[in-house]
Amino acid sequence: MKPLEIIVLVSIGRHPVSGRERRAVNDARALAVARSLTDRSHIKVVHAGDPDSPVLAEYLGIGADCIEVLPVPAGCDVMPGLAHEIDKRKPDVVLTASQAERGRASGLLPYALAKRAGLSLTPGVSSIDTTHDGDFRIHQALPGGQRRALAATPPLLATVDATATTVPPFVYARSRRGEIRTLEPPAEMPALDELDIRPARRRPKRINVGSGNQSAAERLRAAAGAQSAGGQQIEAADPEKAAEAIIDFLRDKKVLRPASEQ
Amino acid sequence: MTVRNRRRAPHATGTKRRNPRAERDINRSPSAMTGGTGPTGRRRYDPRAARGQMADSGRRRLDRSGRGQTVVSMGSAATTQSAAEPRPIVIDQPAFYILAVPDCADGRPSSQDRDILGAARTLADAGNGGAVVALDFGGRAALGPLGADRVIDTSSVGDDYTPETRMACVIAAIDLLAPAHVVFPDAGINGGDLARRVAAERNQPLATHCQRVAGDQVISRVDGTKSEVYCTPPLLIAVDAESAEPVAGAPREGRIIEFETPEVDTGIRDLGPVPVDPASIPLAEADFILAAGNGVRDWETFHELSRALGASEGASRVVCDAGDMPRDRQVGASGTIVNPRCYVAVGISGAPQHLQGITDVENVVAIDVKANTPMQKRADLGVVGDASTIMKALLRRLEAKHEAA
Ligand SMILES: Cc1cc2nc3c(=O)[nH]c(=O)nc-3n(C[C@H](O)[C@H](O)[C@H](O)COP(=O)(O)OP(=O)(O)OC[C@H]3O[C@@H](n4cnc5c(N)ncnc54)[C@H](O)[C@@H]3O)c2cc1C
Repeated sequence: MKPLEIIVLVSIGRHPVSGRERRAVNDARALAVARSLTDRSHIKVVHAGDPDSPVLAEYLGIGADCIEVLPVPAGCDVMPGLAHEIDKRKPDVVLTASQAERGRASGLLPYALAKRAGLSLTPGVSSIDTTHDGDFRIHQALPGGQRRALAATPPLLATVDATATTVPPFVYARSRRGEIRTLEPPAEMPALDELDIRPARRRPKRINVGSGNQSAAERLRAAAGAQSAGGQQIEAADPEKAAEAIIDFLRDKKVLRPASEQ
Repeated sequence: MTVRNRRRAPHATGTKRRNPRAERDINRSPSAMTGGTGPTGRRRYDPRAARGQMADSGRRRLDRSGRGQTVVSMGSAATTQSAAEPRPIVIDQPAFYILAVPDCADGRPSSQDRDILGAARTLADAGNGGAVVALDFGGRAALGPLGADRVIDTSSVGDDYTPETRMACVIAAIDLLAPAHVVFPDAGINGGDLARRVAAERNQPLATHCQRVAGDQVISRVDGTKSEVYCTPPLLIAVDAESAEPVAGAPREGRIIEFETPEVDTGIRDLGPVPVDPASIPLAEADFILAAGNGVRDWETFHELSRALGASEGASRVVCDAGDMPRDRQVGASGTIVNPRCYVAVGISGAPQHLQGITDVENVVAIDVKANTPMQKRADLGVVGDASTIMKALLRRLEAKHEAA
């Protein structure tokens, strides 16, 4: 079987506390997912932006051999250039983070790319496997630590978030050895429209004050988050009865499957 | 010692003597004067009866919300009103439509779904005479009381993961109604994904991660969490969790609109859930947690029970300090803040630092020898008894069910 051709799109991230530029964590995870799928020589890592950014070397250090940079000045849309690159290379899979860590960070780019390049898009991918008939078997992360299996046909664009594989360790020597290659500037670089951007205001967390018919003590507890459930209590003289009550409770809340399904 | 300015007794100056007790009694409401008569023949004041008049809960309290006022003055009227269903508000000829697309992920609206219906309501009311149309993927979910004037039943799409079909539904609804705005919950692979799909398909601007939604302005968060963009509401709006208020007040009619679910062939097929080892799920993500405290001695039974229940294991700090459980399993202020659907606490007293870790948990079960621990008070189901005996009884029951099936 022909090895898979993969493009990983990477961006410049930002450390949430120090604010320093760094590799974007989920882009690094996308690279790790790509590494689990195919040989390193078939992975193309593409960045659209400043070719001189020192952050790019960090991606070399975690397993990219070469990073190809589409020189796009700040304030211009990277989408047409990237879409053109994908059209040209016809990869089986495009992998990227579900959302950037800085800039607009709207998470719209993968969708625009998938639409323009005719890829089917799967969000929240935690791992990908190939099957013998050429399809992909994808594990998608659901809330609550659960996973769902999906089958998808190539070409595929998969976005990766925090639930995917762990990021491989950074190797300094690799980051020095790898190559950063600048590509031809894309033909289309429309300017992004200006936005009215202001520093974010902190918004108070919504607290559950509850209805006016509660006592002050109850409202205080609700505001502190520990609402009294006013639940039922059983004295378990008979442990069997207690066990039954617990199991019924769990079934009722659908955390345990009913006996008939087990 | 001399005391100056001492008032002279009134009778000495010839003015009439006041009887302050009598005056106070006049000001009191007559129904509180039911305490009978005292030894001096004076009618006594029954403070409890007076309190009973203040609020239904029978407690004096300072309520600045203003809502309490209605309770005080209308007492019985309020109860009769809630007994009779309030009449829903009907909009027959809407000036325009606002489309809301709640996830209804497990068939019922989540709190974020309620919020976005509230945001849609805000947009509809801001424009005067707009109607909220909700797309009901969950089916059978009563969306009228949550603020939907019209409901499009798209439950035939099913519970499977079919984002392309859902997108086609939203697009068909947009074509049908030409809504002024479409509101989505910006929630991961469900609403967030759907909103972006529609935006890409229609090449329409989408305000993502909205923090505030008003008729003339939306505030959308950009640049991670660092900045905000203020703009007029675009066609598509994706609202973050806890960023809008759910609808309060009279319900809406929730009239069903005829709609044909479009057929789409999709590149993605759902193969169903994958069994996950609960022990491998990070505590913060886990859906069902069995947590051990200082009251657990019988560790073998505890681990066996967590396997039988399919629950992830948690622990209190004392247990982690003692080395009975790894540190990454600690729940609480200095451990992990968890949010499972159900939390079973075995032998945990419920120190504030521990309770802080489970503030958002909906269902709590407590097993403890003592009946009055804070955890027992927090629990929806409290069981008073020895942890080991009850865990063994639970195991026996689960195994018996297995063999019977
Ligand atoms: C700065 C700070 C941070 C902290 N952070 C955390 C934190 O993040 N998480 C945390 O958990 N704690 C934290 N703690 C510790 C916390 O204050 C409590 O000490 C701890 O939570 C108590 O754990 P416990 O409930 O398991 O133990 P205990 O308080 O000893 O409770 C044991 C319970 O088990 C019951 N019991 C005893 N025998 C049995 C039996 N045979 N069957 C059934 N029940 C039985 C007892 O009645 C009792 O209710 C913190 C403390 C400090 C000072």
